[in-house]
Amino acid sequence: MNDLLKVYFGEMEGCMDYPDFFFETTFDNRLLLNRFSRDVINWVDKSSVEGENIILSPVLGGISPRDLSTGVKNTLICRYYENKVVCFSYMGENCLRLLFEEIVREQLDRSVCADILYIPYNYGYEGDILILNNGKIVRNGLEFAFAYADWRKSE
Amino acid sequence: MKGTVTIEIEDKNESFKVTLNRKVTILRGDSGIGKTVFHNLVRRYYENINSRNDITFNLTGSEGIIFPSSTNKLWQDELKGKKNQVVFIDEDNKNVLKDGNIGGIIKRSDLYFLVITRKPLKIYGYEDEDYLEEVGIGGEDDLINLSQSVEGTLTLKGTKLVKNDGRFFYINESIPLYNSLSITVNPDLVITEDLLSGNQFFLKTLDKSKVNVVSAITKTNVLDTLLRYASSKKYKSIYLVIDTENFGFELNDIEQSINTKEFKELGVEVTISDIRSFEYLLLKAIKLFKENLLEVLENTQNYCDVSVYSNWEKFYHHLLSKGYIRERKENGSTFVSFRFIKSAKFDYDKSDLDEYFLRKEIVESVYNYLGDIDKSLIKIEEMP
Repeated sequence: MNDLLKVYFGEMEGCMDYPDFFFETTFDNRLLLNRFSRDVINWVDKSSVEGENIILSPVLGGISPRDLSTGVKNTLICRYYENKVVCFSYMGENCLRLLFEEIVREQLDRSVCADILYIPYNYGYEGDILILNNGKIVRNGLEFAFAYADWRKSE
Repeated sequence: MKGTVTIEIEDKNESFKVTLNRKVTILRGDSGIGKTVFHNLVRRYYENINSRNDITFNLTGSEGIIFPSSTNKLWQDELKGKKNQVVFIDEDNKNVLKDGNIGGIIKRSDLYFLVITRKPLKIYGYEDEDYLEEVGIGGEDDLINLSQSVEGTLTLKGTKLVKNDGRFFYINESIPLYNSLSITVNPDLVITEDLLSGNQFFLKTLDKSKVNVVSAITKTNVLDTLLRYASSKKYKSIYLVIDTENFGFELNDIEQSINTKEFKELGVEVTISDIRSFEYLLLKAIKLFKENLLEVLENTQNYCDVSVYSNWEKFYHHLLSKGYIRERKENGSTFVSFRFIKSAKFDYDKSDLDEYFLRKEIVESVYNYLGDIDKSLIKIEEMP
């Protein structure tokens, strides 16, 4: 496995700054019926997918997909839209394990902005990571932490 | 503005109760816990003036809540002349959160801010010389992170109830994102954020043959310093001295890093100090002689006027370096407005620690408060 994941420290130009807007206007709701979508929505929002336009929330009852949490929307965008660069800051920690395990399992090629520090290796990611800021490859969590710390110093 | 603000709201499905004690409160945590739902519920309450009786809402300690525009570039005008209110900003409001002036506006206002975000708020370096001095960076056009408090970083905790009719009801309350732990400390390395009074204190009061004291020089360098010393394999136990009033955003970086598999394999125990600021620690030590100071330290929100002090670290610094005590009676109750009586005993200077604070009783009190440090590490030299 080689640099499946590409990470940019800070905010990269063109990154997904409005995940809610993209989700509500562009996201293909048929993707909500996939196993991964159902798992994320169930785990993070404790809700179930009843159809591509209806989600059953334990708190609110039947809701529109647009009422899903921003973290779920960001996670699903990252999973299904290869050309979109999502930001870590729109995901809570509870989104990360499912996302990184999926990236590894499906051999997905993704880029993300680490505008806050999450270390993918802490959430089930395996393999190399390409740091887009300097072109270096990191191979484990400690190397990733060092790379981030180095960037923070120079920020 | 000062004091505790409580926002309570309840609809047919759930209730929220969020408590603010500082000028800036950050609401973050896992996805799907109701942060934005809470924001939108309170906003809708304010927008629907004629339907307010349809929902239970209670606000104490503040005259109202302001929701700055998410589209108007002149959103800051909405805050002009306002005071004793809470400004509530959701992470979706990029109009405000991506405005480089937000840190300066927060700093200059007499308002509380409740912000849903995982990112740091930004401030232009030149607008805050005190902060620049602390972090050791910045220039005329540099945007740096606005200090956030660890205790002022909250999340929501929900509890599910079953109502009489069998339906679920959720009670959500704000709790600290980071837990405060009572721990035993026996370090062979102490890392301080900077080279100022805190570093000088540990350098002068710990036995150099048993414990090394180093400085990260700046806040942005703390993570790198920790990683390098831990990876050197020379140390088994590192004590990281941070001002929690200024480290709310950065603490996540430390936690992420020390939780990596490879860091754990180094076998280095990392303990993070639980002190609001070094000045707070010294005030705690001195409180032995000034009992009414305890009230100010325990309930700082009731004394720290946010129009004067943008954060509690600055308030504690002012208390220690200036000061007098004032008591006033109002409606039969006595209010303690504490400041130190300026005396010849000490002259607190952040960059040069007065030897008064190296007296045996002060040093012992500081270490007692810090935790159970092995007493053999402490080396107190009596003043001549």
